[in-house]
Amino acid sequence: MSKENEKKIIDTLLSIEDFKEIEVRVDDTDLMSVVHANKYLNYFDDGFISFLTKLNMDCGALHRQGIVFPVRHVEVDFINMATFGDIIIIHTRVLKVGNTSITLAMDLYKNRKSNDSLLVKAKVIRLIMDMNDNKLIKIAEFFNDIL
Amino acid sequence: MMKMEEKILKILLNAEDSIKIKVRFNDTDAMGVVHFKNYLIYFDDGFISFMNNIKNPDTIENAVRSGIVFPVKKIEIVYEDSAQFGDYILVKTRIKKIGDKSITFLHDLYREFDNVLLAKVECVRLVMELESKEIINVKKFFTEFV
Repeated sequence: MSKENEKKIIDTLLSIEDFKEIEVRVDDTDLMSVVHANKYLNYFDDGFISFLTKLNMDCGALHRQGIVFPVRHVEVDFINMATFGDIIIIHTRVLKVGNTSITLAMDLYKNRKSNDSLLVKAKVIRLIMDMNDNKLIKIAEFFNDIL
Repeated sequence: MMKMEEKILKILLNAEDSIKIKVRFNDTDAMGVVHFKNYLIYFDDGFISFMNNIKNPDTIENAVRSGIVFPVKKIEIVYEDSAQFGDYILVKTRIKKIGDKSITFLHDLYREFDNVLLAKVECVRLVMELESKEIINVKKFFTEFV
């Protein structure tokens, strides 16, 4: 792939954002009556899959081919709490595209997107791996078709 | 009182805990490995075990029953390797820092049979009174708890 094409793909990725809404389930909450910290990591999956779907990618089909997106690193700030009945809005965007890793910013809001409804701010680093040979796929090559 | 607090802080900062967890079938995902969110559940167990193994007459379960909870304020996890169904995971827990309003735990998770590091966790927790939602001074809590 030419350097120029690679730059175009990275710029396109950096310009895309996605919003995904999910509803808090009863068993997402704990005895504090709020969503337990671990559940937010599920929501990060939901946001990322929605992001890929927006790019016309079929995660189920990719998975059947052996293409997966393991998480390498998460950093999460818990700012406010959500509870059963709340709608959570997951705002996903790309912060950085490395050679074999992609860094996503995920901001989660309660019911609507505003400064005072921010629940969680997170940074998630993912890889793209081919399970057939356990090799990492270059990010720019994987997203080659988005242009 | 000051001396007492210093003594307890020293005990806490030197304390270490290790707990063994068996990976359940439903901890794994279609990739055949433990899903990354489950490490939060594992180190929650590590935290509970740590709290019950520091020298004290009370248990954390009793503290929770009496309305004291330990919400997570911040986490950072670096995933180094993956675990599978059938593996045992060792969660090693210690305290990095004790502030007035927060306490920072370090959890290292290892796969037991080959001692491979799976994940490194830094987790900041608060101590909160559930009913009033009031944040309790961490040092004061431990002076009474330990």
